[in-house]
Amino acid sequence: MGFFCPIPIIKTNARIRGMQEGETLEVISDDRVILVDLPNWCRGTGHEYLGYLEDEREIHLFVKKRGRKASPSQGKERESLK
Amino acid sequence: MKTSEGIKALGLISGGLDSTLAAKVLMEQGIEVHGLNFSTGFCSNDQRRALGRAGEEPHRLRNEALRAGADLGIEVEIVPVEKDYFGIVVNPKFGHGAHMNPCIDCRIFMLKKAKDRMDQVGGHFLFTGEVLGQRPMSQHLAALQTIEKEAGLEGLLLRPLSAHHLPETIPEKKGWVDRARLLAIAGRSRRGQLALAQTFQIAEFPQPSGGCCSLTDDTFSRRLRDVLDHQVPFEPGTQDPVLLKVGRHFRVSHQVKLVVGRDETENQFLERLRRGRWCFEVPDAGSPLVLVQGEPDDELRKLIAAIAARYSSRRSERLVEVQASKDERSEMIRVAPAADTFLEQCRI
Ligand code: SF4
Repeated sequence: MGFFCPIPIIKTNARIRGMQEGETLEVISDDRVILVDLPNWCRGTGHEYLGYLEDEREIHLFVKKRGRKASPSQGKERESLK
Repeated sequence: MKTSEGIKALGLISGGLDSTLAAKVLMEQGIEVHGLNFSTGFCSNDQRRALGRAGEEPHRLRNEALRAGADLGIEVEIVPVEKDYFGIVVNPKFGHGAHMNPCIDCRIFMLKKAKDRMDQVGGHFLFTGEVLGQRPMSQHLAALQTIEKEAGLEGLLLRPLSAHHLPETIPEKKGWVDRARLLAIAGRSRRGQLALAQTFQIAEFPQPSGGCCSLTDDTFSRRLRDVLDHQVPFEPGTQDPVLLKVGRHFRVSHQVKLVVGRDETENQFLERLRRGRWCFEVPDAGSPLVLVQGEPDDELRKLIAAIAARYSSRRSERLVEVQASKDERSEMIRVAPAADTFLEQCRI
């Protein structure tokens, strides 16, 4: 929270490196552009973008760690989980 | 014989068309590509995001390097280098460009960092989207060679878009990359790149004139120079560079400068930085928030109050009451709004 590009992505990358394949990471942010950047990051890295939930103050985004590269279009069309 | 299997190249990816094409050219040859993007703290896009202007379309503020990585289907690793990078901004070996942009040192710096990363991840060579003759300061032949040599990368740095104008590199000599399938683009025209983009069906890329680097901006550079000349505390990677983008700036003494918010978004941004600092505003009026850096004495506080009054909705009144506060301390100052001629003298 309170961080702006590119810090949330750097932190996400660092955190996901220490996780096991198949585990899910919740990213909490108040920067709306993360809704564009995180799916893009997932498309590049092959991790699976699961979508997001939003309340008045925060956005909660979910990423499943994948060990293998997925197709470039993966994650592109995901929408809000609500 | 071409033996690209198992060969990994690391490239500087900005998200612009040139670096995207350079990556694509190598990927087409079966090279595994890993993108690097260095966060210097001087990307104006990032600064706009930190300012948080309401109604900005998220797609316009997206990180273009990540978008390019997504479209290419490659990882673009964002590497924070703000603190180290500031050293070359302050004191570049090869000097500044037209403003505070140390382009040659900047390229060397990034390539050295990229080389370290290449060694860590077992990469074979580096590449960039540089085009010979495209930029006057950093992309003429001598500059490209200097950059390569200073970065300790002789022979290991491939510029796929201009390769035919440059000496053969190790990846070409070893057959990892087929030189015949590299390009001979040079100069400032974008025609070659646009044609290649069409071939590769790359439709999305930011316009090159956009310029994400604040160090090439006249006003930003003037304010940064002022910070250095007056030894204002400045920490890269924090809100300090963003503050140089916000509001009107005035220096009223060697130790004291002020930032006057120009609209609600800027006032809110300044509000977040007010702890431990003097702030001035005109109560019950349309007023900017005026944030002070340094410790103003009684005389300077009157002067700053006059500037706050000048930018308030009461600017045409003879005397205006201005509130000056710092943490728990607060005082009212009655002043005449500052004259524009005075403002011009101290504007940064
Ligand atoms: S414009 Fe900025 S980012 Fe680009 S090379 Fe020059 S200093 Fe570096």
